[in-house]
Amino acid sequence: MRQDYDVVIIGSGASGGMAAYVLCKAGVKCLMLDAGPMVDMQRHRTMKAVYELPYRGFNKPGRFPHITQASEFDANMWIDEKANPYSYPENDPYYWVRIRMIGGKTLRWGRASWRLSNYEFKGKDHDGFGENWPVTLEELSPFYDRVEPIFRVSGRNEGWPQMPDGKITPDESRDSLSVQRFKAAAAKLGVPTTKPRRATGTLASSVNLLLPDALATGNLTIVPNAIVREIGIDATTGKVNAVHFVDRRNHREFSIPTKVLMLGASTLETTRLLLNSRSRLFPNGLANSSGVLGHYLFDQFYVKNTVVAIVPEARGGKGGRTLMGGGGYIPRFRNLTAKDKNFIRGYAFDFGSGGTPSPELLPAYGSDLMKMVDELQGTAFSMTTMGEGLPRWEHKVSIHPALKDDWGIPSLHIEQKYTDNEFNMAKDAMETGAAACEGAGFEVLAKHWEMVPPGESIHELGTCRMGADPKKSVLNSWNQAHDVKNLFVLDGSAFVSGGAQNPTLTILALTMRASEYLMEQKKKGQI
Amino acid sequence: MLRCDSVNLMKRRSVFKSLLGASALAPAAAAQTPPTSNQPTADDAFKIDLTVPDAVADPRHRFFTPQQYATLGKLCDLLGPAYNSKPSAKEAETPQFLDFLLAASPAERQILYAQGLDQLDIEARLRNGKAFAELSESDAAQLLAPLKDKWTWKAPKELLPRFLREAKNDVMRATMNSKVYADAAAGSRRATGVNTYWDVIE
Repeated sequence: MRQDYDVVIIGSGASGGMAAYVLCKAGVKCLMLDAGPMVDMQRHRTMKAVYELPYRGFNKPGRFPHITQASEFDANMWIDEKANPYSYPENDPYYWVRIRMIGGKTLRWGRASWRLSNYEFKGKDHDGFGENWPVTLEELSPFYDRVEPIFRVSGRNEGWPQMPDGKITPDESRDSLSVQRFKAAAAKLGVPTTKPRRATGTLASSVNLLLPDALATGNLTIVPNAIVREIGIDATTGKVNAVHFVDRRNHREFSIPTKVLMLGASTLETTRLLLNSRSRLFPNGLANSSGVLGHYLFDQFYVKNTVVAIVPEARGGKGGRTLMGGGGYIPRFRNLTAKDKNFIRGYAFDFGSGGTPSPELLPAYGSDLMKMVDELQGTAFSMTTMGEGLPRWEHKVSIHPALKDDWGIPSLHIEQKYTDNEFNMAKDAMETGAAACEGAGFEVLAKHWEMVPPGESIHELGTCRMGADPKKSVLNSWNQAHDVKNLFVLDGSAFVSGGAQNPTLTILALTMRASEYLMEQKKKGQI
Repeated sequence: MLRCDSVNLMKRRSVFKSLLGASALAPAAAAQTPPTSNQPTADDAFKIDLTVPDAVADPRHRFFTPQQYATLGKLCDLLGPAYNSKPSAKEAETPQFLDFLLAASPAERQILYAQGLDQLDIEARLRNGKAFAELSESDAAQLLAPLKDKWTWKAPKELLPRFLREAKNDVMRATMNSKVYADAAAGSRRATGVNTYWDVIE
């Protein structure tokens, strides 16, 4: 006799993992489906020299046209782009970066853990653009407070409104002299600086911080390699009643009944699944009476190595740990109190001291280049920009009329591009970053404002947004579908805006909140 | 095709010796040595030393025309000379590796390399009256001058500077990621390019 489950969770990353963590500990029987396999950290990973790899570290040519993060060492982690195709307009490439494994992208995330502020939650009130979230910082703070200790977040509280304080382990490490000089120069420009704020530990993933506790309750069952094809709906009640999935390995089809569905398949996979789940009740996709599903796609644009500079005193191997090393973060500082630039919203920087500038940047070749590289060992100071992309109706995903993946599931067509607001922001970031480096006495080796294509930051957000008005949004303030009360969407697709902050911490906090709301609703008999 | 004859000869001798060892000596040894309790266990099988094909055999020429290959060989000499006891691009068999890599590459990259090498050779013949492969270092330096330009995020639009920028990175990377380079840098994990490899996960 098969067990009945109270809740089916799709996805095992940040949102799916947190849903299981909360619900299973509260005694809810959960079934988790994930499209990928379980990784065995001992068996699946070995140390190798780059010359042992078939392509000397260049990767198999053409294997990952859109996943620039994939190296030949970790190529088997990333999704097979041929088996999982998607499309975009010819002149507007979109880089969709996916991992299908138990733990999802929490196996590889950058771990930066910033709270959103009311500059994001109430963005429309501040500058008139877009929509406010139906949630405020004050409502979400108690959940941030509980998530940060689970992920062992370390950093420094500064009391700045655009960078809310957290329940974090204080980072009292001393800055190197180069970082001190940079911070002083930035301060003269009115640019705030702080320590990085990151989840710590050897691994900071759903697989070691969330799923083990959920499994220990005996209430969680995980099925790997389960690619969900469609969500079934009861035509009478209008509620989700089944999940149909296919085994990744042998293409065998399965169905499972469900009372509640928690969806955390990752931003675009979630929306793809909803758009592919069409019925008489929802001919344009599940929970899409508003017509908003698929729209308002955005992300944070990245300008990698916006500025690369040399700390001159470190030349010739004179750096050392006192002068070089460490790094920090610059939170948004533009348009906080008044509109002071030719763009709205703002951007942030990561900066780091140490390392050697890439030979690509050096104007030499042959022996001259090698001498230059020797001379510049450990002298680099670099900055990367993360800027807020604006959510716009015309930036959207839709189901491709013909393209399908290897399992016969219709693929996405993705339309997003950056606009003048993002371009102007990126130019300002380049000039500001370079000025701070020069103010610190560094030699600017290279600067630019060219952002990577949309999607490449792996911070894709929106397309199933929350909102107070059911005609203008898909989800209510509890991540619950306006149209389908037993459907919750937990991942980044629910975001209304994203600021310049990395989104994972907010996904975790929203999921904890939504899961506890579900428990309350169940107790009241509302679901 | 450019060849490094001493390396080839060494490889052939090495292969010949190993063949002799395997075919002529092994049966005699097997006949004289009875099974003992010191026979390797199944676990010992995982301790067998292996090597890579480049170390024992010559790759077969696949992509470039002989003229392009000669130009590439000269370009590798200029971009990747031996330096501070580290091997040169030639010693790392970088031209052979790039020939293999380009044969497997998308058409856009193949065209960039083929046309870039052709252009380099044409320019050499126009300016110096001889093939790029035969130029002196100072004559070749004039053609490689775009590599001394200030770096820009976007690749140059003109064919030759764009190709040279790509080739500079590829030659350095292919050389530094070779086994001979790792052997020369033995003792330093970073220099030998050791990292965590993710196997196929099924």
